[in-house]
Amino acid sequence: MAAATAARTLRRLGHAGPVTMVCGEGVPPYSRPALMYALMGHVRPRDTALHADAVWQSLRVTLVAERASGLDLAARRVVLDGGGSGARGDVLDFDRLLVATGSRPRPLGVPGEDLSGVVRFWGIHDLAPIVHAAEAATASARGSSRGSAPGSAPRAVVVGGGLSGIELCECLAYLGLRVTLLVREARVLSRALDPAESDRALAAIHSAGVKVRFGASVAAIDEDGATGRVASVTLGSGEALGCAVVGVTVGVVPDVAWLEGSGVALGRGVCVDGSLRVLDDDGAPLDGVMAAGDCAELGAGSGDGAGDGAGGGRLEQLWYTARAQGAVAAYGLAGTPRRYAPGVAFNSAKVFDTEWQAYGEYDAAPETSARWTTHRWHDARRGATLRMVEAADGRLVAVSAMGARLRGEVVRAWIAEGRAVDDVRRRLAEIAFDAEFDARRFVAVGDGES
Amino acid sequence: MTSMLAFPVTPVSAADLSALDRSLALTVPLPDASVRARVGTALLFASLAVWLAAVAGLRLPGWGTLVLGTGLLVAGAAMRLGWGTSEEAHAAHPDGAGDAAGTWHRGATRRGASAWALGVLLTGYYVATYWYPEVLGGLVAAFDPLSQAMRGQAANQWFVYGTFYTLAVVVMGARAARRWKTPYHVARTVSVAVFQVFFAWTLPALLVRLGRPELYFHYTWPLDYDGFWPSTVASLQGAGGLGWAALLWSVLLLTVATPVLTYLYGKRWYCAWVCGCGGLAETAGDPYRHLSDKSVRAWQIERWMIHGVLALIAVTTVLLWIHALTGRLGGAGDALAKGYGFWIGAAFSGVVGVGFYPLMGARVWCRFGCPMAAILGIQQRLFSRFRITTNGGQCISCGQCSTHCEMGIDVRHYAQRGQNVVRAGCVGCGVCATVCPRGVLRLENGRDTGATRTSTVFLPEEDLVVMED
Repeated sequence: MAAATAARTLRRLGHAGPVTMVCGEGVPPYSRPALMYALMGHVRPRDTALHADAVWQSLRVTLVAERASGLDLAARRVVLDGGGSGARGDVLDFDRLLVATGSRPRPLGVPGEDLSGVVRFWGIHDLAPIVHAAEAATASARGSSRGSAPGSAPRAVVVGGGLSGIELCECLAYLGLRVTLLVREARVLSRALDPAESDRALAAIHSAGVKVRFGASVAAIDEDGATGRVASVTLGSGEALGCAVVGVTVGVVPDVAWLEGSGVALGRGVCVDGSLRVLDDDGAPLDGVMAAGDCAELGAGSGDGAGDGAGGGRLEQLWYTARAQGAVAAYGLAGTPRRYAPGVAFNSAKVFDTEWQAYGEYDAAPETSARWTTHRWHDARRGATLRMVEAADGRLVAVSAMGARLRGEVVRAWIAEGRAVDDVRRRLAEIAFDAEFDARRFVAVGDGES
Repeated sequence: MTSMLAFPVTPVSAADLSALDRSLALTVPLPDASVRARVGTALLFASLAVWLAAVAGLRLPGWGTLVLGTGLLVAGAAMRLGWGTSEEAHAAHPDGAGDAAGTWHRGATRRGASAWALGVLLTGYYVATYWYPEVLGGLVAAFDPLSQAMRGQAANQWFVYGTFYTLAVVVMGARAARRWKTPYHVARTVSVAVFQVFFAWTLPALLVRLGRPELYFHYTWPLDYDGFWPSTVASLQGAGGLGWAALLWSVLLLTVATPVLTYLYGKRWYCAWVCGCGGLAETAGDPYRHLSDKSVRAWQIERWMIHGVLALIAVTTVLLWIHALTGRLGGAGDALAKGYGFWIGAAFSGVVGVGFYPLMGARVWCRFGCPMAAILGIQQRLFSRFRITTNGGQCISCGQCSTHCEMGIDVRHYAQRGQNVVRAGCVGCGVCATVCPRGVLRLENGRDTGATRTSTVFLPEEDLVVMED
């Protein structure tokens, strides 16, 4: 997404030279958040492409199916790994480079992770393995059961209760499996949601028939000796959960191993300065080399462009931030770097049938939010909740809604201008974005400290 | 500038994603249809057998065939819709309600063999009804009891057609309302069902029984293409006060009600809440809405074709009046009138319009042919307060909005740029807003009109950051 946005923005800025996009997944840029819908048949895989081929052609962006395996800064060339039609060691010369290789799934790090039946849910090439694993599990369950009793649906365990894990649960349930989700924390999505919202999310998960275990960690994935496939998952507590499919969704890590030894500063990701310029080993920004998206580590070292880039920066691993970073990086590629100063943060997701939108500092650390006041509303009939967070000086700092739609532009504007919460509370109708005839009727639940 | 590509590279294109389409579409295991759904399918086939038997001359006496055929149809549909099952079991099953999941997985809705079979059956039925009614054989006679009760006359192929049509709207309307669930969808489904049952079926039959002309009050020229032709006007004049009132009503509906309502609400007031063609499209056609062509080329064809049909009916009507008033140009007027009636009124609107539902979606007529839609579309585009507002920023480009747009609008293009959707084609069904998983779209009748409605382009990238040197 960062790369696609950068390419579009670059052309909009008037850059006329050739632009080549190295598509490591072998497909044009597509929407990763859309993958669950491609799997469940809401859309087809081809519909997840961000743009039609004709659009890339009219933008004169050449898409190639290759993977980068190294970077030669001195010669200003990217080395390819030979997975495409070129040979290993083929190179692409550049005047300006955008590193936007994103991330890859974080390994679980337990024995049995590579067994047949263990699946990931990161990219479009994970969809077929998920479907095949479900098919195999269903076929073998049918073969071994004595009839078509409802309890004979095969079991799946999903490790990791973030948004990806929850989406994978929905996909596996659609494929007919009985799903158990393992969450390490004590409640669902504990960083983004407050306890009442976690309850709401949990209700949505349960209503789809998915079970959830809290405080659960995985010690090993066990093999069925006869088939070589997954047989069960052993928890940290010693308990074994029988299952035929295991989904591993424990986060993503920046895909930057290919840059090791190239001279760029690497922490968890590629270290960049405040304008998304890549830093070298001495912490100085490189000329004409930018990074954006999941792979970029922002604010690394002790300041903009200073320090030794030894890490300690922050990663922004969201669809929306990739888009924003891609746009800013394009300015750098065009020779007119801009500071990356994200406006009011926001995120959104859907937990089964419940939509969630949040703006501002909805996930602030407890130390920061200790002196803030949280205001809550609910619409019990529709099962919708609204949360607004007020800073000590009365300004609106965060808004979070579940089961209700908000006018994002208005909410972000109010947070950006620091509008007084007292004023906001009287004007809820101005941010309502629910469908006609379906307006939420929010009732205040009673204020309290956050 | 040196060429960056010094060796042959593997170009990548959308075809690589399409390859994944094929591998996924073939292997996704659909849960076995429940026993209830399978019984429902059997009942539907039994109903079809009853109707086909009637065609062959095998009928039960009196109301027998009607009651049996309709009863099997309704019972079969009810079982397939899962009426009586609990919500959870229902939601987990992709067959039936469950909004948009499985759209591309069911053979019936992705141009599989059963879709072709249904298309052939529907097309055949339309061809027979319009041009070879004798093929329908005893089916028409089976409807005599109902026709006598409602119209005081024996049935004809049009009464059979109207009855099946109304049944389809009601039964499939229940399915569609269940699928999309929100108050807006339920309200508009009930609305088209009421207009169909009362204004399109019961009232005209009653008028016939009372010896009056068969009038359709929710329908006017140019969709009712001969409504303003000299022949029709003459026959209405001969029907006394009611005839004059009906003529006046038709004129007011076109010249006053249409622009006012379209200004206030967009063309959805008609196309998604009133029109009979639209009513069938939103109910019986709902399972096929994703089959509409989203390409830019289709949009270009749409624009010249629909305005072409409008021009054609306008010219035809004018020529007929010239002939009626001056005696001249009679040949041209008649030829155009006959041609329009056959090619547009029957073949396009009926045979292709509905017969091709399972293959091309339900709005082919509405999008490419309907002259009323052309008028409504111009009004909507130029001066309506209606638009689909996009909550710029939250769009994840999943494509569900475009996929499920029955009019073939690439809604996603507007959503991901934060631009309001103001398109002549939009019938305001609201499905795009419902399927959006991030709450990006909202149908609204805003306060601003004209150019400002369309110019709210929000560049998501740059609006998300504070741009400074």
